[in-house]
Amino acid sequence: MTAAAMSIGEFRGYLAGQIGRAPESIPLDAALRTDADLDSIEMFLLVIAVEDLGVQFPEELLAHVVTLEDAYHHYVTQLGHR
Amino acid sequence: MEGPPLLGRRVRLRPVMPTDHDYLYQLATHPDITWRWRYRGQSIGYDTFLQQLWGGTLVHFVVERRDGGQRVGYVQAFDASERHGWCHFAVMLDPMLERSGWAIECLALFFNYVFTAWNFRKLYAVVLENNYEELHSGAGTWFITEGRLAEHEWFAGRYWDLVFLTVRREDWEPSGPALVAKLTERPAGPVRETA
Repeated sequence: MTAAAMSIGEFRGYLAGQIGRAPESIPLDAALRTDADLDSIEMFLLVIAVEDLGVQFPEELLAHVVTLEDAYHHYVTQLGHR
Repeated sequence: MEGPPLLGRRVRLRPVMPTDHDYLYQLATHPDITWRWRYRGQSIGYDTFLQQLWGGTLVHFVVERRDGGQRVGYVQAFDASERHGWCHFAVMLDPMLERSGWAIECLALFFNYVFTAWNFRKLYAVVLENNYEELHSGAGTWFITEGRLAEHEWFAGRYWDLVFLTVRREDWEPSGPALVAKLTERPAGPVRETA
């Protein structure tokens, strides 16, 4: 890994801040759309916020990102491939 | 001077061409869209559709995927009152993408375009209560709720409220152009002279 990755807690705190939510309202293993009840605007802002970390989110991959844990795994994996 | 950007991270807005008519008719009459679009599930003739596609339209775009150019939706500003400084807007997206946030990216580009090209104060959308839930987090930042007609429309066994959303220039300008610049990687939005 060539860049220091956030911890999963930092990652959740960062994303929650970007979409204007309390971190506790987005459990790590909750489905973002259904369990955490993120609406279209929040999903859009969340993806933009992850991409702002230098992570690419191609559409075919986005479909597999269901939880915050999934997003974090993708983030860490991409950092490792830089 | 460049025009407002129409190319985002995932979508591109481009002018509607006659070759898009069949696609747009199919989209507007798609079973997952027609009950939410202005026809509310009613069958509409192709010629009537075309009249309404262009009649009253101020500006509209086909939404394409940035990669590949596949058409995925449509966004429209219509029933404009330049005298009073407002117009209405509507968006429909391929049902496969409806919960993806892509509509928000295309709306950000579109709001930026309309607020840059016209001196509107307000952009209005009228949505059914169940559609509003898809957008509720934007209340107070992206839009305000200016009106609600209680139990106005019947669908699927009950009456639903009709909600009037307003995107105000004064709310858009502090953060909207910066968001669009981030999406397009170039400056966006109205150029304002500073004192």
